[in-house]
Amino acid sequence: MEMRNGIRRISDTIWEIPQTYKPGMRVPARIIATEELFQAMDAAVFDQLSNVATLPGIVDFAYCMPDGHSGYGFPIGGVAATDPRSGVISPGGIGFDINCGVRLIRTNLTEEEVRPRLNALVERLFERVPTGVGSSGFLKPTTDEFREIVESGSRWCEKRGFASSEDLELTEDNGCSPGAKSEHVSQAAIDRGIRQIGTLGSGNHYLEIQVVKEENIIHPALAKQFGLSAGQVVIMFHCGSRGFGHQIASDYLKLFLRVMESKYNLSMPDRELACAPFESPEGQAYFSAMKCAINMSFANRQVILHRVREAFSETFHRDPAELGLNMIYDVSHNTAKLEEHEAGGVRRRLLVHRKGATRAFGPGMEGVPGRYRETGQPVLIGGSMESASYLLVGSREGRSCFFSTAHGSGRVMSRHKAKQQFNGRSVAQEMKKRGIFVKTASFPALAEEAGAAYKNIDQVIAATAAAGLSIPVVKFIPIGNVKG
Amino acid sequence: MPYRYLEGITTADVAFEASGVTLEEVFRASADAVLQVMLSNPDALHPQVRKTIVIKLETVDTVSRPIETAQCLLHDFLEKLLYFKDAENLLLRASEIKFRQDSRGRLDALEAVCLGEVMDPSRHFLETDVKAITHHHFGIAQTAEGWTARVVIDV
Repeated sequence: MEMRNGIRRISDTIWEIPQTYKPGMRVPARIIATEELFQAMDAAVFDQLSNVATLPGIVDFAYCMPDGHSGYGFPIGGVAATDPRSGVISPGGIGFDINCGVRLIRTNLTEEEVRPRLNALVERLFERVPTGVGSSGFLKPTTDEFREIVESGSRWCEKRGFASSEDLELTEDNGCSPGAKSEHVSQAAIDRGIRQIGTLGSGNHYLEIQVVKEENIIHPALAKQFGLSAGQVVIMFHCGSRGFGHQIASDYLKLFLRVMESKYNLSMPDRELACAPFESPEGQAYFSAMKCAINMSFANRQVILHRVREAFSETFHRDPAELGLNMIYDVSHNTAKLEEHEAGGVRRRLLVHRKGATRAFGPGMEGVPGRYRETGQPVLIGGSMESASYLLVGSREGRSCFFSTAHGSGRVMSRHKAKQQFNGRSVAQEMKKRGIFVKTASFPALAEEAGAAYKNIDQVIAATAAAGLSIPVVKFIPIGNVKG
Repeated sequence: MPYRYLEGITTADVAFEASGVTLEEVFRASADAVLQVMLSNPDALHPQVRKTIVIKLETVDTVSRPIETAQCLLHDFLEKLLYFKDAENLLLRASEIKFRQDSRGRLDALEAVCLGEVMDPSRHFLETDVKAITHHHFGIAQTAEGWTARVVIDV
């Protein structure tokens, strides 16, 4: 079916923007969405995704996931793979919050056991996991220690007793992106991040206590393999590399803008798509600095997990091991990684940029922890604080999009409008009536995150499943929320 | 207020337009617009700490027009405010802005005296953290009344 400007629907869930849509496109672009989600996408998504298709060295297609919405440079939900030998790396394809991601932890507690102590638990979590503007963590590393943290990620946490070997096994890249060298990181980035390990940040970052309802077990066999059953309580949180990653992205965007045209004769239609050849000194320096931010973020989420375990243990007067506080998985959704994929019928090494998109490796793939080799990589997609979140697994069919899937609900209402339309205190009261206890650092910030500001998460999940990108396993309903 | 938040530019983040008769006013208003995303009661910010921010462009030779230099200065200046927010927990307002010119009379640097204090959640109504100043739709334009700046910030 042909639509405006030559955009064609080529299957139930694939909409293709032809290479002729805009001068300079090197490949066509594809939006993965149901008709309803596609029609609701803002016009800037088409513009931004077609800009992504102009990146030097891009292969196959520029993709936008079903939760896609406009960002800058890349749309949020954007996926682009470039040839590392002849192509570029673009910080705009990763985002300012490098390795923003989600972690899921199982417990052996039931909703019945947690409900009576829910408020105390949320209060304790709020106290243990600093949130909001200006928050700093309990760790006070020296500059040398911080350099070690950003080069070794969760491994540093294990050495310091904040992580188990199982935690590392169940974190993407085992919690440490190799090749991170802090010499490529500015002092400003270190200054911005050094006090922030173990903090949640603000915006759409959260820490939630969620419940598995019987009717929400979508794939019982897989749920069982992940140790999930009806009535069980889980913990999910979402955060990134804080000021450290933000500064690295800002530093390298500026550097790439300086050298892109003058040194490499490259021109992009959007300054936020500033790029440099991957194999150039600047490209390699950014890749290494970005890995430092990836590791800082893994360490951040690991230290938060340590504090979560403490808070649960103190609230329920039981040891974390006794409470079964074990990780299911930790995923990144703002990264660029070298991966092996098939493109143009040939298996090759590609640099896959995912900005607001989750890696979703299928069963049997290298990089998936041994215990999940048969199920496929766990995928964690958080919804709005008022709706639900999901555990899914990667699928073999995911190869069509470089094994990538959605990362969240996707916003449909601006923050400014949400703040005008909703009152944070009323939102919290309404949520309380529905059984969700929220503790926030800021009620106006809470208003920005009202459920109505987001797409329907169920539709996003259904679209990823229909497109074969990921298979839903369990839907989680929030009962407690710590909001930045 | 010499700034207003804009709809229709970004769904997930915040866009604003700051205006002023002079470029100095636009820089001050832009700093306040970034501040107000993080702090809803900026009047509660006491001028207890003084920071002098100096931005000197390394690339002024390659920038052809003064307005582009001003854009680079504004971008770096706003980023520096975010640096102090994370590195020293300081929220700042620009009190005095001075532009400098190089030996050939071209705009190439700014010196801003900024006043503020360390965040205190008991008095400061802290809202949403600002991660970065993006280049998306970023620009300064001359108008009949003076100058405007358009900025999109990542939150």
